[in-house]
Amino acid sequence: MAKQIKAKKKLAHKRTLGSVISFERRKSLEGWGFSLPWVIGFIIFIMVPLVLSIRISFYITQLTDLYGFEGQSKWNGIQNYVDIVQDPEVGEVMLNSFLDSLWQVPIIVFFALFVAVLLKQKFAGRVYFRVIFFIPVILAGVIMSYLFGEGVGSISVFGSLVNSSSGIFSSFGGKITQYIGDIMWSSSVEILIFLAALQSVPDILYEVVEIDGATAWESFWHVTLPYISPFVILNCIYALVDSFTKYNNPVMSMMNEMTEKGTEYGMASALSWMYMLLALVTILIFILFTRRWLK
Amino acid sequence: MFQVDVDYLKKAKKRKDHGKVVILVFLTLAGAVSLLPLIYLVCTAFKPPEELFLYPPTFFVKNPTIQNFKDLTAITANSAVPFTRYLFNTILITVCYIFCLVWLLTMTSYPLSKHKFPGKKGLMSLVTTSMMFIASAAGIPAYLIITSIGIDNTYLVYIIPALANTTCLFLMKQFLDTVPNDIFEAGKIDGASEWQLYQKIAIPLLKNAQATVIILTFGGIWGETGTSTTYIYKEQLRTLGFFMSTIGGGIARTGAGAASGLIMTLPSIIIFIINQSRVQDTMAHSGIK
Repeated sequence: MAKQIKAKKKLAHKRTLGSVISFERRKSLEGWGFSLPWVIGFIIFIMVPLVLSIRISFYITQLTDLYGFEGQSKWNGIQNYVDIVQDPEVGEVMLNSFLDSLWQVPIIVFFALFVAVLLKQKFAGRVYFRVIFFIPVILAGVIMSYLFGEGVGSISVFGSLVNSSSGIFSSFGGKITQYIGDIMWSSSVEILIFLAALQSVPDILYEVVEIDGATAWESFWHVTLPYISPFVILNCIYALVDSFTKYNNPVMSMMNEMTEKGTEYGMASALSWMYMLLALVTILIFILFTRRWLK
Repeated sequence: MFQVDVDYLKKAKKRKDHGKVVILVFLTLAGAVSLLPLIYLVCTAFKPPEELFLYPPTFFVKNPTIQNFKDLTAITANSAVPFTRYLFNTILITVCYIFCLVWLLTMTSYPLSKHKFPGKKGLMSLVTTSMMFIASAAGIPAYLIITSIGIDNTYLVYIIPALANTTCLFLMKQFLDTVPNDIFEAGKIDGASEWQLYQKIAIPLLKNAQATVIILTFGGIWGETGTSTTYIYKEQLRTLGFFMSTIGGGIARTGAGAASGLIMTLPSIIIFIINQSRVQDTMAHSGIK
């Protein structure tokens, strides 16, 4: 009898790995354990190049110097940044593309939400419509480069396409068709995200409000929208980043030009960091405004 | 006693039908704009040479021909490295990449969304910040790092750097955030380990996020040309996308280039059609009653 009790006591005090490490520490170990593989890759392939490009932005370098990073690169202090700020041309291009993004993003998000809500309805042939609305992304990844050499689903591609088809489409007026086309082409990822988000709204909520006598309009405002509001914000950020970094953005082409020249690599780095700051500040302001609405 | 207002019900049904017609009309119009480039691509692939070089270019094809596809097969038959090798490379890379990416992203987003651990907030803000950075500006440093690790000129260079996909991680985490914590707590009370929670709860519930990520990344990796050009100097290791992009060069091969573009697009469309039904169905049953 006494032996048994002793054995039980021993068992109770048996130390598992879990009890050696404190609960808190185990939690954090588990957290990092799961994310570590990706985080290592993230640091090596994204963070380190980013930090190196900060360093480069303070130098006058040529592409060929960078491979050794010694060569003839010269420390230039903040002169690169000063040059960019003082260059009126850069400022103008940046301001214009910034303003363009500002008015396009709400339209893109609104349009995407509208289409996603429609595509969620049950009607004949909705699978085909989903494919059709997602075609821009499929095409952008693969074939635009073959056909047009550059410009991923860009406005110029679309514009030239519409202009080339004299007849039906040119009668709409070139510029407006271009804008419409560009917005529709930019919104396909957002449509997909909204669609997936809309699927996550439990059907039971709709049933409940329907029994309570809500119209479709009311149930959209009081059920759907609050439920998917995080995705509205996600999509706004996505659209903003997308419009800042897409190929046909004038600032982007300016930056690529500088990089390709090879002699102004430091300048290009400085410009891209300033541009990134601009994007960041915009998004921070946006998040500050929407935070109250979120929760 | 209740009396069912038959007329009202009929009217309501009629209104519903009208709504559907309006939806269809709108979607058809908007869809037509989205579809234009694809139609243009198909038309171009079937255009005979004299129509290809018309100025101003025509939109629709008048005398369709399959000559472009014949040219394409002739070119692929005579390439230095067999066409099947390119195809094999691309399929291998695409399958490995998509599998690793989905696995890594679900694994990373799980603690980011459902755990508290030190450094989590900092990590998340680093990820979102770096989303905003323009890749081309960090291109040269990235090149230096990749070559110094020594994975250039192997299959790995296609896969590993691209796994650090911040946008998709962000997306995945957002999706997991909408899954109620109660499900995980229920699992914990039932004695599931963290690994089991991840495998038996997080992964199945993330199915439509996974489908979204697959759709988003497939086109890019399938049509991959940039890495082939920059990091690979062995022709045998290059991708189908690279090979196809070399065909389009030169005036004589414009038609074959358009044909190759059409052929490269088809797998993306098929992948989308397969996955979109997953986007549509899975999440519907995840709610807690």
